[in-house]
Amino acid sequence: MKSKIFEKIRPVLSFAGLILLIIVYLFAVNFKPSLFHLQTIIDQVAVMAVLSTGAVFIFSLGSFDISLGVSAGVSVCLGIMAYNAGFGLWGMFVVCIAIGLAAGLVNSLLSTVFKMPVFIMTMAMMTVLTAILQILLDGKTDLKIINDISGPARSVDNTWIRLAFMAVFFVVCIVLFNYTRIGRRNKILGGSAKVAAQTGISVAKQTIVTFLISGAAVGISAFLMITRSRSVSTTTGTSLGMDVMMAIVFGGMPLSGGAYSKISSGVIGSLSMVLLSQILTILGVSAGLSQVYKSVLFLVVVFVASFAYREKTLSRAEMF
Amino acid sequence: MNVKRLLANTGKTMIIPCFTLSIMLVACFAKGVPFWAEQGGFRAFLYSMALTVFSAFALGLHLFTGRFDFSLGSVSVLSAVIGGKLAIMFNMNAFAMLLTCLAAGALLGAISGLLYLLFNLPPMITSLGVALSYEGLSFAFTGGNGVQISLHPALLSGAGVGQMIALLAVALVVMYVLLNFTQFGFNYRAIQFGQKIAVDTGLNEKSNALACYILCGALVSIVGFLKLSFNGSQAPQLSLATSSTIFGAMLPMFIGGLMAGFCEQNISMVVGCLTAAFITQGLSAVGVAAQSRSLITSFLMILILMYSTNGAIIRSWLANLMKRGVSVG
Repeated sequence: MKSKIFEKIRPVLSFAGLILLIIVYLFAVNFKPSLFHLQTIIDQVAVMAVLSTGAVFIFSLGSFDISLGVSAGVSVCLGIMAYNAGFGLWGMFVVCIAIGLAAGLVNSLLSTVFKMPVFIMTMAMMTVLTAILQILLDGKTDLKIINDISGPARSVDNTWIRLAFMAVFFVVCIVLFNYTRIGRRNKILGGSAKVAAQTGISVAKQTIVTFLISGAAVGISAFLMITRSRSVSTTTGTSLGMDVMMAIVFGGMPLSGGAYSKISSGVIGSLSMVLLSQILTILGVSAGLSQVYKSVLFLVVVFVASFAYREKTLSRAEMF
Repeated sequence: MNVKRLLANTGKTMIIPCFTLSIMLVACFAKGVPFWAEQGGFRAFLYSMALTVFSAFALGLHLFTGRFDFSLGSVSVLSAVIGGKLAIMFNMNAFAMLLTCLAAGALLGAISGLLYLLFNLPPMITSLGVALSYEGLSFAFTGGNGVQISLHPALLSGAGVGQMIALLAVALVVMYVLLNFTQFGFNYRAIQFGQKIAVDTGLNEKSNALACYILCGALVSIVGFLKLSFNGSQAPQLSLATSSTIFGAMLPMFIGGLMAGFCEQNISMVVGCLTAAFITQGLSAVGVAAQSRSLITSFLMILILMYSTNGAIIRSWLANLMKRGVSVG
């Protein structure tokens, strides 16, 4: 009974949570949010929202790619290297996208051709990519864009450009996920691989397409990261993969993927997480306690979400 | 057990570490450098191996029953912070600090397990929240400074060679007995190989899972204790940086998985950790940079994973190849 009631209200829960956070945020800034406040939020949301929206495609299959954040880090590094080598802004953008797509392709091939379990495989890929990032930085702690003051990279350091990228990518993903065969097939495959096979869906092809879409998201988010920080370090993107996982769950994505997967969960979750961080910062909460509060709220959200998934046996996944 | 079979299995189990050590020794010989490059090299080797053994025991215990626990690293840090702080406060010796860390780790593991049982969601998701909480608590608890025991010589003796060997031996015996000669171990295996059937026949899965969490908490608390004793301090980490503890144990665990058919699960883990430690030590001795070492070991992990999931196909392909070779011959 409880589960049925929950099923009815679940679609609006994450959205209601976001509205609540917006209200609390407005209270925190005394109902006088400045343009600076808005820009800070957009800047922080854009990268995570693009990456999370791409990750929703993988999540809808019932899998998760934990290497997305580090892939973005490598993409940022090679993008900056391309820019510094004289390839210009467009060259940097193309390199970012190409690296994102390449990382997605490798992951999808390891998953489909070699039948490696996605989560464990992406975890291994994460260590490979972290090592590659360190090698690319060649012992340095960071790498900056040259001619930073007057170069073209500075000209795209603009909140509204980041917002435009995020909006366009989100709209494209809405269309792909809700109005094309790609999204429909992902939902079927996430619901049941057997049903997918019976309806003639090629698991391999669908997995490759899915990872390529998330790869494109990696590339775009890497480009957006460069426009904001114009530098890369050995830790760039390391925690982003986990943040994306949390954002998607915050955004109301069903934990098992499938038919109820929502493309909006990436944006709603990212916005919720950023707003929460902002509220805690405004209230002067220390870094440690801020993380405790965020995690407690995350656990509460997860606990509420758990009403719909109660089973007789404990939840577990086939790791090997 | 048949002595011949025991010897054969022991031989098969030791092939990979012996082969790895031989390659590394040859590489060191060719480069004209010693395998133990510096003073205290063996202690450092044993220390890094002990960290991976305890982490791999904990990681494997969860992973083989389909659970992935992101909070293991944070349990290790928080238990070390609690153990270290209490040890300083009550003027304890190293052994008492170890017991305090173990108790704290078991308690933190129990909390993590209870949340998993309460939520009944993929443990990966639940443990993310738990890991963030524990990280935040260890940061808030110490004001971001962590715990320092370097001014307390009595507490620094916990990571001596003898102590680490003793800890490893005790942990191996305890894990071996627990998994092979107790009801907990029988139930664990039943759940590992047939969760639904085991539950349908009345096995209490929840108590077994909770026991696993408590045991894993205690195991990773030893990692925290060793780090604290070896380095003299334990700094808090935020943003899930503590999860690197788990990732470091992946390669040894996968190497151990290759030998799982020839020996008991815990022994295979220890042998896997020994092999991984030989690789790291050998590469370091011949002067391979840390980032290149990391890349090599990561690729090795992918290759082993590839073999683990496609072992049957590869073996049948090799058998066919050999058969064809024989018939041509």
